[in-house]
Amino acid sequence: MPEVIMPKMGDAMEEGTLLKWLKSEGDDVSEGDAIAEIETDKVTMELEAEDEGTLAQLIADEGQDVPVGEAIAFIQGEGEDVPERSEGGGEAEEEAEEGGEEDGGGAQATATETEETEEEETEEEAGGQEADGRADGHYRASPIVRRLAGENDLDLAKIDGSGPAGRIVERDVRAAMESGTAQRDEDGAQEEDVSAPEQPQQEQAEMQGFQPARLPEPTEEPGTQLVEPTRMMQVIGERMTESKQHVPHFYATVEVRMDVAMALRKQLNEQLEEEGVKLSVNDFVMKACAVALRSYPNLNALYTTRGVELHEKVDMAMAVALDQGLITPVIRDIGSKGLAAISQESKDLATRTRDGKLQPDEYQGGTITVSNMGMFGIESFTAIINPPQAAIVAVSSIARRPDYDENGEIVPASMMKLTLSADHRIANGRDGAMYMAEVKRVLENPVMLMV
Amino acid sequence: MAETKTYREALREAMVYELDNDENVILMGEDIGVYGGTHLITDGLYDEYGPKRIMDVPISENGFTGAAIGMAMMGMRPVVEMMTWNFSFLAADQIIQNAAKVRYFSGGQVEVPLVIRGPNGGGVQLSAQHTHSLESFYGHFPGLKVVAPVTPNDVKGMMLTAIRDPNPVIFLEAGALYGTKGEVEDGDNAVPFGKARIAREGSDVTLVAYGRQVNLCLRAADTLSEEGFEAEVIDLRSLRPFDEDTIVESVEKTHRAVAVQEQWRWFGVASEVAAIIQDRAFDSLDAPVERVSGAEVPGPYARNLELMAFPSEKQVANAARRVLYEEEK
Repeated sequence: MPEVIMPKMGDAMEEGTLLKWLKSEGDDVSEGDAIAEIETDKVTMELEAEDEGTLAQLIADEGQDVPVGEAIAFIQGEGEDVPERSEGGGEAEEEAEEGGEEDGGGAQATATETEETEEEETEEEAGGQEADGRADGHYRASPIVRRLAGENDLDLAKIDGSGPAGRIVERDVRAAMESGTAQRDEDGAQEEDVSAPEQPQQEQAEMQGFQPARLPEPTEEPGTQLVEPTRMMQVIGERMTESKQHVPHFYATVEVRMDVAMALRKQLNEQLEEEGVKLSVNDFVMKACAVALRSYPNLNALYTTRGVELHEKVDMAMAVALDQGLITPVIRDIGSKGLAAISQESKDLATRTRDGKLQPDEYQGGTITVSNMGMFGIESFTAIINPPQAAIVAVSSIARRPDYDENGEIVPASMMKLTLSADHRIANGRDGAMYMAEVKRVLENPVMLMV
Repeated sequence: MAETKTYREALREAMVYELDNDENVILMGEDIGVYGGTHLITDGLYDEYGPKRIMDVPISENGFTGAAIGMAMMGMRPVVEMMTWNFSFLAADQIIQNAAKVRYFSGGQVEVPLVIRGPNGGGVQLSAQHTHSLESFYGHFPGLKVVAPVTPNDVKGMMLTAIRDPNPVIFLEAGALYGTKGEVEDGDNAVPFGKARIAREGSDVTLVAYGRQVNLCLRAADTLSEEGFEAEVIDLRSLRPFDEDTIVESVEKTHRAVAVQEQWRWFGVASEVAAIIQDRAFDSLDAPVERVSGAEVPGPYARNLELMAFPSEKQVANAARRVLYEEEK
């Protein structure tokens, strides 16, 4: 049975909004009939049927954002059956994702599974937001609406848009003004009782999946303290939310035996003591991550509007924790630098980050990130990708524990876990697994760091 | 006092009024004298005013237009008929290079009080070479005034103003409407240039047009009224100078606008209307300004195709429904 899919109407198009169905379920369609209006961030177009038959099933809802290539409807030819399909859009997406994983491997699939169940919830909610054209707090509203909202102190978040793609138009504002349901909350508003007219509007906002309305009001009970997020925390929050919701993460963990690297580090540090150089484990890990990228360059990439941009040079961002947030200064072209240079530069960047003396160009434009929580005794963790980068490597602590040597004897070993988080749009599980295996190989044979 | 007259009669009345009023006024054109004019606009005038004031000219648009410009420069007030505006392409060099620029070149010493008039636009099955709406073509050039009246009263009043104007005026008549009737004021009813006419008052959407599209808009407005929406119809009638204020004031009231033109969409008057609205009434808008234009093809001959190539009442009503966020019909 022919599937009608969301077409790719431009190189940068990742998804389209199904504005309006022009045909209904059960309608007969011929090739070339306009069946729906599709909106991208650039154009609005009519989608034409490519097959003849009965429009048997409309999968996508009006206002829904649908990724390119996903089915939005089925056209049933003569004698064909309508396939069983689950109702929820989220599950449909999951099916498509798994289908796209060609050579991910069984281990890879299990690694991503737990993640997907988590993401389902957020995706459903995100879908609701975007249907209103108000994802990330932006509203579609006509100029007169914005003017009226300003003049009458209205909160557009509380108004449901009836125009195309959820645009709030004048009649929506007039209706809200008449019913008095869209007044902007004043600071003192919480002292008022939660009165009757406010209730439906809250429900409405929740139905739209609009985030601020979904959050609870502070309880303000004794023993609580309200901390407003700093600007930096807001930005981190927005970026991480964006990444976790929109970048399909997958994870791959390796355990690295660090004894040889630790011995080498000790030896080097003794030699370099007079020069004031003290190499850290992280310097080794960063260098190893860069060296391994030579074999797997597709993880040194940015996800851009017009495709995946592969970078020859590795500009490695390193996560530096602050009291009130986090910054990722960048070591440029780390692959061409020796361990001593990396060590000095990373210390300098970390110090100046904590002192707040970093220039913007020093923390912008990384191509991959390393985040190290080893100093806190963390056994293992996963990190959130820093968009538009393809990957981030999470470095945990080195733990002494028993291991088997080649002869099957139990010996003490220094083990460290590294977890890759990678963007599944850029790389598949195999790429991630092979890359991490290479990082492990380099760290366990640290002479590789010298070449 | 007012009397019901045809567009043709009203036009003739204005020229007669000025022929009587000012001896410098003369009419020129192909077959306008002995024959009475292809469209009978000048019928009977040759007998009354004679060959010196009602001049038949050879089929040579560039030649007689140039001659008229020369006469105007010397103080005459010639009114030149283009049998249709399509033939003015032959005279475009004289109109654009001389008529529009002599006053500028001479530092204001030499004026060109010239009127060039004739039927503009299509709708009467004259096919591609005889179906042009030339308002944006001539409206593009500084130095020319361009008007396009649609009512009999305006065609008279604006012709009076055109003949009295010291500058070259491109007078675009609604050729398909020569036979339509309307009330025409007696005597001197001169209509000033640069002032639009509100053809119908309304509160919900502004329809902006000129020429025969105004009538289309009025019919669409009646349909919309049955659906509960009152459209305000603005007849621009003067395209250069252009009355921005009337449009802006209307959109400030209605918050929605549709611009209608018979000519092709690109580089047209409707685009100018849309640009002016977003420029001066942006904060009043509730929807993007819609444009309704002719189809992007040379004017078809066949009646059914010609009807499809020009804006229809349905297209205008649907554009209005779109800006009202209502279902199209």
